[in-house]
Amino acid sequence: MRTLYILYDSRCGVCCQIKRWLEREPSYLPLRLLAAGSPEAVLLFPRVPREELVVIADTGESWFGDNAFVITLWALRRYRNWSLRFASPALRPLARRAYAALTSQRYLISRLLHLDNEGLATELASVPLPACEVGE
Amino acid sequence: MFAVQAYAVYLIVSLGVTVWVARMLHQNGRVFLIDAFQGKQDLADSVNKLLVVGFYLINVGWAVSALETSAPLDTVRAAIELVSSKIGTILLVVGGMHFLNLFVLNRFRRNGLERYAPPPIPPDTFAQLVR
Repeated sequence: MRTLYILYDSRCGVCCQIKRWLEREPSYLPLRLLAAGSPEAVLLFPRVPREELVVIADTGESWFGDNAFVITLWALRRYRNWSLRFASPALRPLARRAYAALTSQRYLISRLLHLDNEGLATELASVPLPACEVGE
Repeated sequence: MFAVQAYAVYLIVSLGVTVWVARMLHQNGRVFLIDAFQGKQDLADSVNKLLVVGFYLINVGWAVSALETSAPLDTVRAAIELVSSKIGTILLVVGGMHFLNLFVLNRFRRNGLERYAPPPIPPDTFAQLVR
């Protein structure tokens, strides 16, 4: 396992915030953060669902949802100990519930915290501006 | 009057305890360190020696510099009391250093285990990568 691909929801501000945090964190192995549904992600992983956090290793192992969240922590130098704790039977249910709560309310939380939304911005930017019609 | 005898007893006991604890650490810390360094024995032995050197320097340094007293040791009782309180301090210092050392060894070991820990959760599925 040499690289982890992390597919995140770029339409949610919280997710984009976490993505920017992940880019700054030192990790044990290189992380490639791809917006789910982006051309690059579709090219690499055409059949991966768009709605969920997905982590895929370059060797093919894939994790979804809260498992993917724990694996993401596992990749980080400063948080691997937390990942091992969250994976233990004692904390597993708590991690699962916390992830479920966060993920189901992620758009609401993003709106409340006024977190900017990269995905929407790129989607809007990809719409061509209407050409100006020359007035008479 | 009893100052020289008191110093002698103090030095023998405090240095003896230091040597005993250091040998203990040296012998039993090795297993920890080998585990921490993924079985690299020469690396573990080297770190082990360096830790013990630090342990000796601090403890012997402390014991020797705490030797001096200005108390008039006129009676055997005064001498015993002084030696006892000084040895007590040394034992506490050596004990503190010992736990610090254990903490350091365990820290090494945990960091080593963490660094090479496999993913804690088995994969949900295997993706076929498009190349």
